[in-house]
Amino acid sequence: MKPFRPESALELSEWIASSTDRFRDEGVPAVTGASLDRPPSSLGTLPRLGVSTSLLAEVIDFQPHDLTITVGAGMRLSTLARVVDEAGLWLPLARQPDDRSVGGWVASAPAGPFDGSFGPVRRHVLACTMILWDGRSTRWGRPVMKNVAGYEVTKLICGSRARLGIVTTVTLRLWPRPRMLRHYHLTGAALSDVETMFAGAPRCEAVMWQGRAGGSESATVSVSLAGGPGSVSTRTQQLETWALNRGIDIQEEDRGPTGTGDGASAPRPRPGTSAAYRITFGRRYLTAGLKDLDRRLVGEVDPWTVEAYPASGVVRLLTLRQKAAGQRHAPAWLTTLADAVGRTSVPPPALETPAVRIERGGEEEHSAARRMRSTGLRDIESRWLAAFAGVEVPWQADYL
Amino acid sequence: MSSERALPAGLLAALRAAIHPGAVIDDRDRLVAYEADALTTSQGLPDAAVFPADRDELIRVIRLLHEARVPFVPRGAGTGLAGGAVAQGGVLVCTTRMHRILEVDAIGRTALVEPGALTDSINAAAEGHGLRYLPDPASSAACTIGGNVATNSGGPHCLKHGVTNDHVAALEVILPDGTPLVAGRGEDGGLDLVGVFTGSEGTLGVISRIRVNLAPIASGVRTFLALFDSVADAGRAVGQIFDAGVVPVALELVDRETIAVVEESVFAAGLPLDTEAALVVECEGDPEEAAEDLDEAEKAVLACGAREVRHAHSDEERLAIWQARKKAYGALGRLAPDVFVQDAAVPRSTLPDLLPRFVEIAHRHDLRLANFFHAGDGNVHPNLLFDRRDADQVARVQSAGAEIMTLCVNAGGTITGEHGVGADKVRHMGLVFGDRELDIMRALRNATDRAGLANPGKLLPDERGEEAG
Repeated sequence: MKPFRPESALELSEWIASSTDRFRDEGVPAVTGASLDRPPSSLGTLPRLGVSTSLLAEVIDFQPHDLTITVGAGMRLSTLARVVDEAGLWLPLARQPDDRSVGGWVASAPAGPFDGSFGPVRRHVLACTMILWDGRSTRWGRPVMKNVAGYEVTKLICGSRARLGIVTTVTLRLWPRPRMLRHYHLTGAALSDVETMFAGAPRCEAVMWQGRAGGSESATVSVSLAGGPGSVSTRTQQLETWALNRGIDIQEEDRGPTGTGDGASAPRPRPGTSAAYRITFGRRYLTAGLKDLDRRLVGEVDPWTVEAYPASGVVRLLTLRQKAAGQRHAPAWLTTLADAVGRTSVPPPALETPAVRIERGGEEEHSAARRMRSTGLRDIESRWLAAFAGVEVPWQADYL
Repeated sequence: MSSERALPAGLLAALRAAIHPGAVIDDRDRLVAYEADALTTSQGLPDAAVFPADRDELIRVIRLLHEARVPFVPRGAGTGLAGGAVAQGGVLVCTTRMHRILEVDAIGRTALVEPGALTDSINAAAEGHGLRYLPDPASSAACTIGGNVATNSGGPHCLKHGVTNDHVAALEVILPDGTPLVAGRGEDGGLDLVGVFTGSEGTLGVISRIRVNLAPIASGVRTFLALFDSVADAGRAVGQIFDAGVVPVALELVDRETIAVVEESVFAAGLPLDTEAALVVECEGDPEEAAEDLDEAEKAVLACGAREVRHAHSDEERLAIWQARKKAYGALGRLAPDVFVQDAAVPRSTLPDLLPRFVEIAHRHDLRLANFFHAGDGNVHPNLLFDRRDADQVARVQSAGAEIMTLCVNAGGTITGEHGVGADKVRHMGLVFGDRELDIMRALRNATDRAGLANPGKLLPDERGEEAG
């Protein structure tokens, strides 16, 4: 079943308003962003209504001098990166702006290597237009750098996976393109080297440690340095000396004029064939947490890749799904993961709880994740969700 | 006014039994100290003020108030500029005795603090680890971190580093029924609840503990002051600096009227009185980065017609420049007894057009205007000077203020960039939110506070769109 593809926000709004009975019977549709015809994946065999924002992909308002841009939620991140770059500006996105839509990026709020220096997704989102699940269109935030009028609902929207409604436009904060931007790959760096890098010298705007199942021998560290040419050159020299002293190989990566080309990471698996989990250890025990993950997950999970962002204490775990015999990652697997995360060797400080968040995956994983959450949080969340449209909205498995 | 009779019988005794008896105040003479926050024109008296010493006492207090259905207003140091911490009856819940820095985690780069801790005291505790808390509201020596989180405070250095909401990792809030809730940023797949509790102005409960993020202290800081013969040129220079690919950590504008008053005060920084506008530009990072960024910024301001650029050559000179900027608000007291503080935030490119229009509006209303603000963020503070004893002046200030606010909103801006809505701007919420959005925000509030006890009358207009309280 092809998803409904509105050509305007008004059309989407009317469709939702006229479909509420249908939603009651068939469930709220799965939302996809840029994907044109791919049916919502990871939803098992259940036929389900779908809606795609792929045709809402225009630049609506671009104010380079204000460092803001408003675009349709269906615009691909790669397109956005190009538009912004042509104006001499920059959005410190994940290292590879890809075919995901801006709306999907906001809705899933994935972790990224620049989070530590430029802030996570929520810091870049200034305003949104969102159509609620009863068809009403709402607007949150303004195209300004600071705004404390009312509750900051844009923060609630980031990472909410369409549970509040469908985002149709997004206003983003942009940055001047750094006068110099360099990317390097370091191979043979051990986990302990990452700790050293995080301790401050040499400073990098983005640090991503990439490893695979079974240890850190094959690890690669990708770093980015951004800023004035003098500072970046000096820090590059420091980085090279640092690597040399540790027997680490260092290679510069040319990402072309936009500085956003493909990295050397593993090829992106097709949507629906992989799952991604964000594990927040916190900076304090990222390394201990990674070691525990390594020990506990070897043999448990299919081939997996770990990306660790030392500056934000976040790990992205990417696993391949087994296609054969309808085998899926069962909740049991996730429980193992949560167990591993919850029992790392260093106790978490007060108010900081290590947690697993599913960035991409199926309904089953989600329901397992839900069970791990405290009732107090779930209670307030469901009450706040009800404040928007009063429609029971399931978690969106694959919002791309 | 007999305050005790306004509270249900036995409540005061119960509060005194729940916390230290001396930490409950109900005599009018002492309550008068809490009749306003830093927005002195917005006044009200609580029936009592309570000062819990820790989280457990705070929970007991809120439970008692909830059982008795008595409205309460959370308050930190009372430095807010929107009348948000003023109670019209009910109980003022003051967090100033909960001022401990519970932990500085140098490895994780966070600090766990109580809400009544002074913002600067976090820095004092973190400094020894080479760390700092980044947001720097001008009142950081006097304001509390709980108040900062409640209003989502900004400050001059938020331009590059982001505002309070970008630096709260987790918090615990005592909901209006007395239930404690630990909220995170959606790490567990849930919603970013911290994002909404931050800036909720005490309408969703009282914050009891906060884990803030810390960052390494920059090894290089460079600052200059650029003097201009025209406010519009200074406004253009702001955009030019960004066009040069530089994001300063702070980019502040001070106008002629402000320079005059600061130069008469103890914070005089030797600024020429015939300067129409001065820009404070500060860059930081490693020493080389700070220096080369500042060089680019200097080229940009000179290209926009700056007549002079004065570099701070020492920490003392840099602090003198910042004293002149940060103490400007207090120094305005030399000119007039009252200041009508504005706090709109606008798209930056509209500044050269808007700044002369602020002046025109003030002149048309026969009022003095002093501008000093976060130009890099487009967060303007066109302050109108007046004397509240003069009813005619008050009326003119209200009219000019509303005109400036509407002008800013029509330029794509918002009614408050960092001070908060409080009681002061409730009537302007309709300028930036439609009925739907207001209804949803009311529903969010009611979800945890069906009885409407937490800071009533603040932040959101009631259903009739009227100002409450």
